[in-house]
Amino acid sequence: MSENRNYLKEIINNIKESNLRRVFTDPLGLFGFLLILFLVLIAIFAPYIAPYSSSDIDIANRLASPSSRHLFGTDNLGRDVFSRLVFGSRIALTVPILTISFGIILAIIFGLIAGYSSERVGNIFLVIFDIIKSFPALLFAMTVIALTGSNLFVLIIIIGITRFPAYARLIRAQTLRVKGKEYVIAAKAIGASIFKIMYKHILPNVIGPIFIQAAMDIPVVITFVAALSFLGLGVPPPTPSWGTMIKIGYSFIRIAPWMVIFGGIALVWATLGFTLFGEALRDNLDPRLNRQR
Amino acid sequence: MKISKSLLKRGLLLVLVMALVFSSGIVVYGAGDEVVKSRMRLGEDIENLDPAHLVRGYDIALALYNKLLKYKPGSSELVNDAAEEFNVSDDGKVITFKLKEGIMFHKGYGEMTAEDVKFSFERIIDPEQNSEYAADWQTLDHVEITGKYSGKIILTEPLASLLVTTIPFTPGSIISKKAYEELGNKFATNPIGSGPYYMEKWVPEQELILGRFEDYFGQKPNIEQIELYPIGDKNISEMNFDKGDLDVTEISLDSIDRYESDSDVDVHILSTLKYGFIGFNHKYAPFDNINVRKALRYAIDVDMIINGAYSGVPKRANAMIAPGILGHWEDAPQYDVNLEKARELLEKAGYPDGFEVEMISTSNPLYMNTSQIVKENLRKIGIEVNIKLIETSAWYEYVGKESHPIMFFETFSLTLDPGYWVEWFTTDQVGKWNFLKWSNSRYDELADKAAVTMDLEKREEMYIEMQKIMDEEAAIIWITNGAKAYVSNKRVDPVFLGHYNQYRYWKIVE
Repeated sequence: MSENRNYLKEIINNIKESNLRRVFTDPLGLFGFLLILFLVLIAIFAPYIAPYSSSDIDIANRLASPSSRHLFGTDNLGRDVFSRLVFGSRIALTVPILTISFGIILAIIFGLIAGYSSERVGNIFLVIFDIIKSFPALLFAMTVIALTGSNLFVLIIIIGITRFPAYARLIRAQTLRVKGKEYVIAAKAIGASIFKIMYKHILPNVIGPIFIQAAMDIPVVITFVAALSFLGLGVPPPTPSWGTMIKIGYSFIRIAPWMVIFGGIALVWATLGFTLFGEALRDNLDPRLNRQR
Repeated sequence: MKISKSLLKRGLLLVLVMALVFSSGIVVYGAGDEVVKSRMRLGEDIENLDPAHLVRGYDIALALYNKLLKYKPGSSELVNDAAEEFNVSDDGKVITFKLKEGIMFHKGYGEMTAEDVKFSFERIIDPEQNSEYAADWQTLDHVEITGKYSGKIILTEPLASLLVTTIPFTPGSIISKKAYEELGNKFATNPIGSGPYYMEKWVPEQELILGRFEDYFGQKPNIEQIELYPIGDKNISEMNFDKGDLDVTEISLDSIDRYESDSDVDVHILSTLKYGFIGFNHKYAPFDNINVRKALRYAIDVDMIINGAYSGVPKRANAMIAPGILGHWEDAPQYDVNLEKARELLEKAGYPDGFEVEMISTSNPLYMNTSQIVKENLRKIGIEVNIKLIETSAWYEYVGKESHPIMFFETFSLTLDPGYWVEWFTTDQVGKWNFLKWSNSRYDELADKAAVTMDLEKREEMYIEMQKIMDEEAAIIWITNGAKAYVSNKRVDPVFLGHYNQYRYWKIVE
């Protein structure tokens, strides 16, 4: 009966049937969730947690080692590393979430069209998706940034574009599966517009797996942004970004290793959290995997 | 996760490649039967050691080639190198020289004659060579041979920089004509000169070995072999130095304190021939307003930039030309931070509430740090600086060729000749290297005149006047001429060629 499966419903059912509990009883999933929760709380309450401003320069106090005054030491401009990491969590979380949301929006539009239109048109779309996907993401990002300069908006757009084909393929595949279903045919028969069919009848039935894919993608984007920042092409200063902190810290690694160490820990923290949680979600909620059970 | 790891790795590599700096040094190892060796760091691997095209590895060129004249180590005094006699005519258009006899070229290419001198110099102005140094010899007409060892350098016009940066430097290197004619393009990596060292071996990206030239005409250096390793990253070469794998290396300015406390290590802090400055595009508001520029001069904390971005090592510069170079303006006024005055000037300029402005920076930490300090400084007088990060090659397009209402930090590497320092702010350079897009006819006139003035005192006056013009117009904010630091073992005594940022002198017992 797998032909008639409605994945979103199944996911919701899985959650309702307290399959979600399985995610949290899975020790790695719980651990991942706690890491993320902690990070989200830090990002939300950053101004209350950070003892100093993230941008106030205090040259006299540059490269101070960790102490009770500066828990994680100071950077090369005398700024508190702990405070910058705390504020940096906002960038670290918002960029991937906005990026992936943008990617999903693109994917929904193009994935639905590709899936719902004729096979030939669908194949053309597939080729386009594959071209975008096969283009080296970092190179693409570097080229665009070289032309436009770097800011948050540009980052979100370009990373979104490089990520969307994966989701779009997923949506197309799901759309193909449901477009011949009775309820779609019925909707067509009563004269529903194509947009209504896509939006009301197809979309809810194809969107489920995307969220799991998205959760798995967040750490990839976090490290991607960090890599760009490390190359000096990420978020412009003085906005604290973990990647930039690691990059600047690298040139002081022999005399002030705390910038790289704590920046690295923060990065590992976030990627580990999202990876573990994403995997737990997939293992426990993805109906495509339920087949084996 | 595989992707992201390789991304980071690639990023790291790129940064390693980008952080290249020249550096080297000398060490004496052991005694008795052992080969006396030195191991040094070469910032970037060589590409071309032909003196007509050599743009990096200047220190290697110093070991390979002789010139007619050379600088005494640690000073700007010229002494004879390959020349026995050297005279400039009163009108500055004819230079007569006589070579020392018995100067031999490496690898059996015979004795140096006036023929080699003619060939070496004329080759550089040959359009077919397309030499990077053609401008250094721009008024050379030809070299006339008057004897086996003697000749005349005939110029169409006198050229003041000839005796500062041409004859005693890379474009004045004398190569073996015979070798070049035999080797052709291969000369680039098989250089034949007459210097104290010859190129023994080069394994690209691994090592370059210089051997002592036993037939060297001068006093032979006590180091028999010099091994150079291309290591880009200063962190890595510091580690190599600490392990004992390198004996002399450049270090980061922030490591100076750590090495100074080590009694086995000598720290050498050298001033560099550069200028770092904050510039703005004079063609656009608000920077076309002199009161705005003056306000910025009172608001930007130069000492803070030196402490924060330059690790507090180099001295502050109040004018363009560095001490020790002809035209250094000793009494240039220093503008210390005065926010009161800055606010007054802004009000006078019609910006009582400040304004918003874009500052362009590359990802180079020096640039990023300076920009962030400027942002903090200017916030205090109500100017909101938005830092825009841009990739290095795009930076030059954006700041140099195109025109945007922006401010920026930049450094230029310069030479011993003051003409080279002032050139970049002339009207001719607008759209090329005059990033300020600033233009002043008196300044241009003086630049042209000074370049052909052979009287040093008059030349100096002109250069100082040019700096006064820039100061009166608040055209630019000077930061520093920069510094770099080296460490060496106590056993070693590296001699650095004074006042030339990329050059250093091989330790030759003289």
